[in-house]
Amino acid sequence: MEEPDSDNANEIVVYDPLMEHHALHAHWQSGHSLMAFASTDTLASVDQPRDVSQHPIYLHEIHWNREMHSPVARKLVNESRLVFVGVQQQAEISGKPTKSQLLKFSRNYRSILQSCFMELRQKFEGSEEFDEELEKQMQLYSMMELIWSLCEILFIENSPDGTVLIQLVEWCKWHFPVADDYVRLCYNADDYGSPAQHPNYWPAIYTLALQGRTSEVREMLKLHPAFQTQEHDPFASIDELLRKMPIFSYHQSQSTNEFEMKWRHWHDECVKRFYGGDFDTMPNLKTLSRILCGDEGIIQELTELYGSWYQMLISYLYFKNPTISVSELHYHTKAFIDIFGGQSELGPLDRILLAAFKFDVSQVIRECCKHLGTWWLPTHLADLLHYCDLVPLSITESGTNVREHLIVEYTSSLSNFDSFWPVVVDYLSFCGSLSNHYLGLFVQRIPLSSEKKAAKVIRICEKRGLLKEVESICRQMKMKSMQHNRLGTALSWCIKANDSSFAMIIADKMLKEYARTGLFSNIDLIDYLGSSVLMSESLTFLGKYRDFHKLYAAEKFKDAGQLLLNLLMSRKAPLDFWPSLLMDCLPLLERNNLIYDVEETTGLLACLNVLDQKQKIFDSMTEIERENQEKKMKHLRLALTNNLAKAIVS
Amino acid sequence: MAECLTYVSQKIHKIRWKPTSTTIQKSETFATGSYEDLANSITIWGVGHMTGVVNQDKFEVADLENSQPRRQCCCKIPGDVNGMEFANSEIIVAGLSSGAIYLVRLESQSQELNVQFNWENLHPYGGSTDIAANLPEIVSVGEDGSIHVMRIDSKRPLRTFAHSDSCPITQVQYLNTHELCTTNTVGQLRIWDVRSPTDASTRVMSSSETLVALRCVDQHPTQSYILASGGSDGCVTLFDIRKECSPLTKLQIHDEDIWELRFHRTSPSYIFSCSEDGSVRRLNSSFEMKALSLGGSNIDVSELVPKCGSSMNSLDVSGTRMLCATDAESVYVIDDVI
Repeated sequence: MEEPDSDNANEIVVYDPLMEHHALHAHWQSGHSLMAFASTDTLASVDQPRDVSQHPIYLHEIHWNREMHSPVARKLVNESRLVFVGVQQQAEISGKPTKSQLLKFSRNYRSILQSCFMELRQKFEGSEEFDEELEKQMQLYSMMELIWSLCEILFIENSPDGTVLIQLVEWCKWHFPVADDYVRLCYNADDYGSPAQHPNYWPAIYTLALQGRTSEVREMLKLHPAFQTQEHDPFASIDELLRKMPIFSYHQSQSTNEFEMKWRHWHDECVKRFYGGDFDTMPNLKTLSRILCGDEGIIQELTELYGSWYQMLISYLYFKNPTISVSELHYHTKAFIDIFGGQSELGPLDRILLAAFKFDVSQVIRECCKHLGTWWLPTHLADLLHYCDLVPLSITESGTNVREHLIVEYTSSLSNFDSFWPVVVDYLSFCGSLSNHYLGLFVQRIPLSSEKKAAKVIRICEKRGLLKEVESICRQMKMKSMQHNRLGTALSWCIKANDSSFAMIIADKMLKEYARTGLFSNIDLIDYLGSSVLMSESLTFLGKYRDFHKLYAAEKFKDAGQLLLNLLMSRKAPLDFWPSLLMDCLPLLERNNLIYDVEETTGLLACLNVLDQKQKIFDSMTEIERENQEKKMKHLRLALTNNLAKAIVS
Repeated sequence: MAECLTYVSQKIHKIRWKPTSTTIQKSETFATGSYEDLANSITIWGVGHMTGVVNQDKFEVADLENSQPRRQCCCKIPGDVNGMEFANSEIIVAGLSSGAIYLVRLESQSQELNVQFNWENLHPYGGSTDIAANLPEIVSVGEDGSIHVMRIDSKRPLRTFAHSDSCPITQVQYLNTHELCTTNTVGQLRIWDVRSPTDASTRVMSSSETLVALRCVDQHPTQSYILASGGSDGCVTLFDIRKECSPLTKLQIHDEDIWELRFHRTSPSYIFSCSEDGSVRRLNSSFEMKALSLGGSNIDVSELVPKCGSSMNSLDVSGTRMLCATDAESVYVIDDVI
């Protein structure tokens, strides 16, 4: 367990007048943030009196690692998400992506990094003032691309013996344009006459040679006045050596042995010409030939032309042992690191690249996590390398998978921002065996700010089989609607969640409201429930009751009467609603045509009797209401008795 | 078909072409409204002529250098932009999640976007979900089931249908100067008359037995009795409002919710739809009612944008060019869609 690094701790000062006398308290929030406040319960020191002044109490939100929300970072996050999902889907289809597919994905990631860098650079160059933040970001992105491209060469491409150095030389050429800078200076200088007279002429040639760019060296040499007059043999000699330098080409199906033989032959020729004094007249050409011979001494002399130990390493090996394999690279690293000041001088980038040369994948990932300040690179790199079978299964104490751990960390850094929630869902879906568990936890923390968002989250949960979470979301939305007295909306959520018990509660509420006010609040929904009305008995009752009203409005009195009778007889109605139902009989009874026959009227009277006995309904009413109720019941009894009489007679 | 994809670093909820003075003129400016951001905004973009270049495989691809939309101006908005329309070529109206309606003016000379007017707190619960404009009137609908009709120069709403829909309303369209149609989350398409004294809708049409939400609706440009609406089940439902209440026909176009549907203004045999499944599809039909109701399949469906990995939230078509915006903070500009 590592000790907390006090040198690297970040400090922030919180200004608050209350904190002169009270202690600072803080609570963790989700993501990288804290809420700090002055706690009036504790005192900063024992002798200070409690501050009872009128200072308002402030809540300070402190957050860090918010760089994932800059516009360029958002582009990175969204574009790379597509590639990430593509990798996972490919793995699902074919078990494991092939090397060429992995290479394609790796190049996709790199091109995203490059386009982000270009955008930053455009902004940087376009702004009038020096923006330190932008510069830091540019450095970060170019560093990430550098690391990624090296890892791509060493781990993903993992070329057969003999070709890795060619790729590394290319890598140097593209990422360290020191030679191009010199050449450009030479060509741009007007006050020196010809480029050959520029003081940077020979450094340009040396650096081009060190980067293995022999044809460009030849071009530069041709500019030398001595070359043009062809007076000196040294130029012709070196030109020939440069021209004949064998370059291993994998595509020409040349075997390594064949190439090695050719190369050794060429190398011997270089050495022979050097010792033969071919270049003694021109010290600069002598230096150049020593480079071609792979002379170790020259490395020491030209140290200042190299930017770093890794460029030196690659140059040296190119002229000493061009067919070296990937696994042997690290034997040579120590020597060059020592030249540049030893292990203690190594910066973060150096450590990461060293780990890569040592072919220690887990060390690369560890160093990236420690030094880069963003989880993006280690997460995506580890994911890709996982499919190369290079990432070891566990480095953490809890035994979690490296890849899974990194994905969770990355998504934590994104979950600070509400807008990234679909990205987090995508990453968590593919993080391993515990995907559904993490997803379930995350989904519950997504703020459901609108119905549309809730619908989107539900759709995602349904796709991944997180049915419990769907229920939970429906419940939340339902409760929110109830709080705002939106019974119809709450009912629609119940139906979606198939929650018949809550549907019953809502239906009962609606009925109570009708009983109280005589108005239905959500007819537009009830009338169009379709088959969902069967979900709960109360709801079915409500639907049928509305049908009764519709029949009555359409003047189908006989049918309406029958329906009403049915509702009472079947005892489906809640007891508190019986008074309303029975009162609904009154207008029917007062009609001229006989709606109810003897049996039916008797049944209704029986219901009235039952009601009389159930005193508890009347307990909740006030005096006036009770009086009214009794009057109504009397009236009803009278009407029913009259109807009975009519029915018997007819 | 030339296509250009740009990452804009904002989740776009609505995207709209700026209307041009004539129909032949190609629109070169569009507006986007963002959501779920720390600071939301409405942004105006310009897109140049999309040239096609022939690449080495002999396929014509868009010349990306010149085709990338360029940000022209933007205006900060205090809330998610849930509904946005160009009321005319200079005025944009936006309905926000805070329940406010904002009226933003685009100054063509100075290329500035300024808030000209706003109505606060019209939808206190749930915010506004959509907005439609038929100057001088603007109508806004919300999650609280209310409809507010405003006049552009007056602070108080002209007409309010308070909580007239039991469920959240998802989209609103003007059918003519006094009639509106709305869709809601239980699959109902409703017609409202602004002049009506009661708060109830004049017609209610249900699209399905199982209460599948309807997310969007659009009216046929010439045959105004035809309405097309998109649902949460990925189906496009066609209604003929002259007939009885049940829908005319239902077509399964997408796998997931259809967020936006547009008839092409000048070639109305085309409907464009975009969906949560990330694709944009185009229906081609003569919309002969008799043939449709008999189930005659004279409907052609083609895919303009394959599933792009995240929800396609909004689209708009003008002439031969289409815009679409995704949840992956990107915008597509596609040419030659018809």
